[in-house]
Amino acid sequence: MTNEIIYSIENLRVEVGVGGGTIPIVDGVSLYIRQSEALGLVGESGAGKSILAMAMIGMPPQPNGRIAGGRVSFHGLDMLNRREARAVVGKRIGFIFEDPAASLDPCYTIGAQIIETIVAHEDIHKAAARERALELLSLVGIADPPSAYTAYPHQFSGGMQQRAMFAIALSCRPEFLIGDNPTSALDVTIQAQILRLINDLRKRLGLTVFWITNNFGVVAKLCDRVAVMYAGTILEIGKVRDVLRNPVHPYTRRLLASSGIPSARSGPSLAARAGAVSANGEVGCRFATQCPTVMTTCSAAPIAMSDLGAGHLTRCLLVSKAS
Amino acid sequence: MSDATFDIQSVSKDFPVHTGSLHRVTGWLRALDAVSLRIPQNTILGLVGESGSGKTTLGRLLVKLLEPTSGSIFFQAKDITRLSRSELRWFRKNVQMLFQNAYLSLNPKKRVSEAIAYPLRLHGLASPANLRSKVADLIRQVGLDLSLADAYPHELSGGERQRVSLAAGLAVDPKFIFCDEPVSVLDSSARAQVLNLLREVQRERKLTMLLVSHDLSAVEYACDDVAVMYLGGVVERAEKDGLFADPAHPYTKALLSAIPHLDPDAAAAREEIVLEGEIPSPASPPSGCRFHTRCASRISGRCEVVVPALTRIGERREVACHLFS
Repeated sequence: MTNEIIYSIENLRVEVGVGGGTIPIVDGVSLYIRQSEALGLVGESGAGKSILAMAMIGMPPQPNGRIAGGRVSFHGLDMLNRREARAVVGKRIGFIFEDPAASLDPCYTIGAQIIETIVAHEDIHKAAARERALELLSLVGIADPPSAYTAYPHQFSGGMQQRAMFAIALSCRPEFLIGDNPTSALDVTIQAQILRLINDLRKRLGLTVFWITNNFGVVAKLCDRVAVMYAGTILEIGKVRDVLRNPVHPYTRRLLASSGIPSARSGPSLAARAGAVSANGEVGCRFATQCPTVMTTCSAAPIAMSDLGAGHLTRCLLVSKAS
Repeated sequence: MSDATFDIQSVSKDFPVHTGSLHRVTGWLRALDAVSLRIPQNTILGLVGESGSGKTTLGRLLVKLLEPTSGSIFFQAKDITRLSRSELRWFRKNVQMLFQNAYLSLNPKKRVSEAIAYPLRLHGLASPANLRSKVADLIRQVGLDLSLADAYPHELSGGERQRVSLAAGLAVDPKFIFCDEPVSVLDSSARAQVLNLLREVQRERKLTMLLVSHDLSAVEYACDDVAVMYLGGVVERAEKDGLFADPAHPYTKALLSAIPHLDPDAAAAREEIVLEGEIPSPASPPSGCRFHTRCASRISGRCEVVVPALTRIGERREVACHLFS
């Protein structure tokens, strides 16, 4: 459990230009990920999860975004430096996006797109790369690899396209895998197959995983720790068991209550939020305008993370007051 | 039989398969194979299954976006494949649809109030004098603020857009609404709101709904009854609580076991049935029971040969499996 930290994000800030000014989409996020660990990130749309994931490989949001501050390092490499990032992204870091149809090139066969990644990063003969591609296709559970190899993306179903994306992400045997909500569009049966594959790779090869999802069930199945993001900041982080069993932050509680997993049959109605994800860049707690337990001090000043022990941290005045 | 809003009798639907540059029809794909299903009045029936199982096709047949290849569909005891012009108008007024992505189904150039007023005018349900107040009522009924009446679809959130679509559907005071994946593009709390709203509206107006979704927790939350589809056929149909607590068909068992569990300990303790591979192609479905290629409790010599019929095995419970016959 005390493996070395291979990925660290310190005080990361990503801004997007809107009109005359800028809005911080990711605002002072600090996270670390240890070797062989799986860290989950949950939050509603608009929380900045995908922007954070892209910034982790040094990509600012397009068109008007920029990474305004902070440090991201992977094994000591500066991921915000384009040259250093380029050498490892795709090779040691695999990335899977939410929408496979938008990520695959419709003009090239699945096989060509897998080989492209392998040949770009490794000094390998094309025939050997083809062998590896076929292996990968069967690894991700595609029934007939040779015919899938020569197929074009449009001939695949959504589930098969996403599995092809997994094959590309795993093609250079990465040690770190970033998944941006990659199973949300899949059927639960296919999702279960993919999660089993990732868990298997973690056990066998010590793969490290950063997984963005809207589904706490996926977190429970895959992750060791989970972070909850809201309006650009991390509000709670801790071991999956601690956060799911004893959520401390009012936002985490509401998010859990609204997730409506069949086992949680308690309430008559799913908890629903009153307003939208509130404005980024406020001084105090971002969640203050919607919080059921809001106090006057909540919006006064920035709120620091309070440590509840065993790596469970939360950004809430109710907790820091009590301790 | 008369208490059913929809009575589907042995309905099949084939789609042509085109190949080559001449686009000739080289085969037929059977999306639905002799499906019989009743949707009782004043209930929400959930329809679940993997992509390619025919859920959406079935829904589209009910709203007459598609015509069946064979079989008949009765809406309030009227065969909807043989409607006169005036009956068709009556049918269109009473059967509405809520699409998956309201951003695509709402006209981007029409304000919220115009989108809701349009069906009222089309069916002559409001005079120019009371149109405004009727639209305002509908906006309030779906829980939107009246200040949004002049907004355009792009100014709304996903949940708000779905509410506008629902208001437009409710405008004509229908008896039945087909909801095709109404929450799959929404995030968790907007999803909760829309599901709550559907339930409320259904109870208040005594509506009948068919809710198609691949999100099993949404179906469990919102529906009264659930039908499970696999490769063009209904394999199990049951009252919701019974189905989720004790699934009978091996496919239903596998499908439910694949839902990721919220509690880490329960997730570890629970036996998970992982289905191998994908749903087979409906262009060349397996013989006998269509699930036999992926079924763990297959009876060899029987399941590959004989197609199991949907049989009643209990109160409000039917299953199509040789294990139960």
